[in-house]
Amino acid sequence: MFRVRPIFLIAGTTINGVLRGVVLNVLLVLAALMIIGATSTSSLEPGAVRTTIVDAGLAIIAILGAMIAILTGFTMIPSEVDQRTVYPVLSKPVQRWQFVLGKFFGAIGINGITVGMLSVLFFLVYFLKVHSFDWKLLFGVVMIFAQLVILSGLIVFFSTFMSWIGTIIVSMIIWFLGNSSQFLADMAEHGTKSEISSAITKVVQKLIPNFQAMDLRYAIVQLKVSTPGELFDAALVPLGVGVLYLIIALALAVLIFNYREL
Amino acid sequence: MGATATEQAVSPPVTASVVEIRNLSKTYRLMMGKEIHAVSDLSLTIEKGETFAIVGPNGSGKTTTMKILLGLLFPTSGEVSLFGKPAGDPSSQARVGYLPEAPYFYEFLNGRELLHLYGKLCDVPEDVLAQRTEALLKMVDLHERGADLPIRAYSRGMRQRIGIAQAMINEPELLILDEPTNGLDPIGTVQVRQFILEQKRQGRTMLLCSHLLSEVEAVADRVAILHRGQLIAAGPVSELVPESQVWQLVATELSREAIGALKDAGLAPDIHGDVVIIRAHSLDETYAALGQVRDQGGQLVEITRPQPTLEEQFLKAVGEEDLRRTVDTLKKSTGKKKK
Ligand SMILES: Nc1ncnc2c1ncn2[C@@H]1O[C@H](COP(=O)(O)OP(=O)(O)OP(=O)(O)O)[C@@H](O)[C@H]1O
Ligand SMILES: [Mg+2]
Repeated sequence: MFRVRPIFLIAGTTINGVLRGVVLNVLLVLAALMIIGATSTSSLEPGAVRTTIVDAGLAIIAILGAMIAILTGFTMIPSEVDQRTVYPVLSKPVQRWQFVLGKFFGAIGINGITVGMLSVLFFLVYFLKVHSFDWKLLFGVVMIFAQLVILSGLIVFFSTFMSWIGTIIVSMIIWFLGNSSQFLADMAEHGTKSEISSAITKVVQKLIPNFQAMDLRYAIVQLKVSTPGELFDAALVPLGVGVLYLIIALALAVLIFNYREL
Repeated sequence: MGATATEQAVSPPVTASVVEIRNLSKTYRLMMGKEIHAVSDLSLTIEKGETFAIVGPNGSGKTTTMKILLGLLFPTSGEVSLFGKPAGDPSSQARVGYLPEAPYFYEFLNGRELLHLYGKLCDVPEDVLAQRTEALLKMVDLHERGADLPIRAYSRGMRQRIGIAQAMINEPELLILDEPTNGLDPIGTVQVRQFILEQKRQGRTMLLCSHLLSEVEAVADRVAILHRGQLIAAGPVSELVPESQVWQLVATELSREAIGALKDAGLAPDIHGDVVIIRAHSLDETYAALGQVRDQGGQLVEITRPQPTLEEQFLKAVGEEDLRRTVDTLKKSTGKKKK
């Protein structure tokens, strides 16, 4: 019996719960204020205005989006297990993999709401200040969304076997290191004299999804790339690797959750 | 998909038993190698249409057994099946309703939204679901106060009520109720008992558990008594509780002739001076005795059902078990000493 409906019912309920809660709403308001604040202070030359807006806007969406993904994601599975709200759900004709995927799709929905709402605000601000629209911005926010989806997959995975506090800490570390991938690579190359620490840094850098490569702020701001094809090429490999990570994380999450005593 | 589920419901497979538990054991492993034997070598079958009750004190393994049946926990050894399928199989799950112990639900949904969600998870068609939801809300007395109130604002008893309603959302063939009257007021307790009897009339198979023995006595066809995870007695209520049909009538102002008439009717009255006590061993006898008392101009003082006979039975069984264990361990330890 292969049913997808339970997945979307669980996803919908998850999104509903987050929307009716405090965390998402507070962080969304905070992010909106930050975008408006960061972009309206600039009394710079016309060229610098655009750079600042793009840089700050995308950074705020990425950072607050990650915060929302982590702070709404870490409780998704653990709280259902601890509060035993899974019992009535899993005693219906719902299989555990459907529950896990439902939670993941719920997280995707929340990431979509976050990125969607903040992007609309961001584009509006950009249009008011620069009096034009840049398609590359759209590409930028889509890549942020992709980054958040991968992050959410990892959060779902960790939360199937870790405590909630462990999940928060690990996912924050991964997000931070993933966004410092270049720095880690440099460290491994030149940073240390010891072979071992260099090797460890390299392994960590390779193991953690390269979120930095999915961050197109630099590419957009510096105008180094001008065609969609070039932007796409820049994003393709990290995106593909990210999707691979996602699939592995979800498969493991389903496997672990299948054998968990509830 | 929905169609196949209904077809299965209409013509269940030929396997006789709805629930089968074979040599089930469950050991919880805690940190530092500590083990808790929650269920030990339990075997039970529940037939179609039967109301089966597991009775036992706190920590005797009732909830553990039910959670294993629903695939929420896994057996350490032994097997369980529902409708001939292993626990957790979605096609059998579709035919089950489960009320967890002290249930918790999504706090942000209101009663109606909650029932809709669970109904959709069971593939109940939209139009049927709308009607059924309202009927169930009414049945559990939540239609006025609870339907539009978020679960967050529910009292303990209201949660229990919505729990019973959600267990019924797919009109299951098998109802598994973990302490159904837990947290309910006296009226609620009576309502649940009536609910169970009604489901029984409709031919639903039921597995319930309780530590209140008086509660299941009136509704269960068979009872299993569980103590520290071990089955210590099982059988029809009438066997376990031979006295359960006894009603006791107390009457006064009965003439000698009247007492004679009672004796003639085979009612064996106990005479304590002015007071006559009649023990009736069936409902028919009870009515007969009542009729006699009325017809002979007697005054009925009280009519009671000397209750906790299963309780006594239970304590006796548990007591014997404890005694046997103590004797066993004593024997073992003295045996060791001798060696
Ligand atoms: N998650 C758990 N981890 C460890 N031990 C557990 C767990 N759940 C139950 N137990 C133990 O298993 C035994 C049986 O517990 P269970 O909840 O099945 O009893 P019960 O008969 O339902 O009791 P009650 O009447 O209090 O509900 C108890 O000794 C309990 O301590
Ligand atoms: Mg219990």
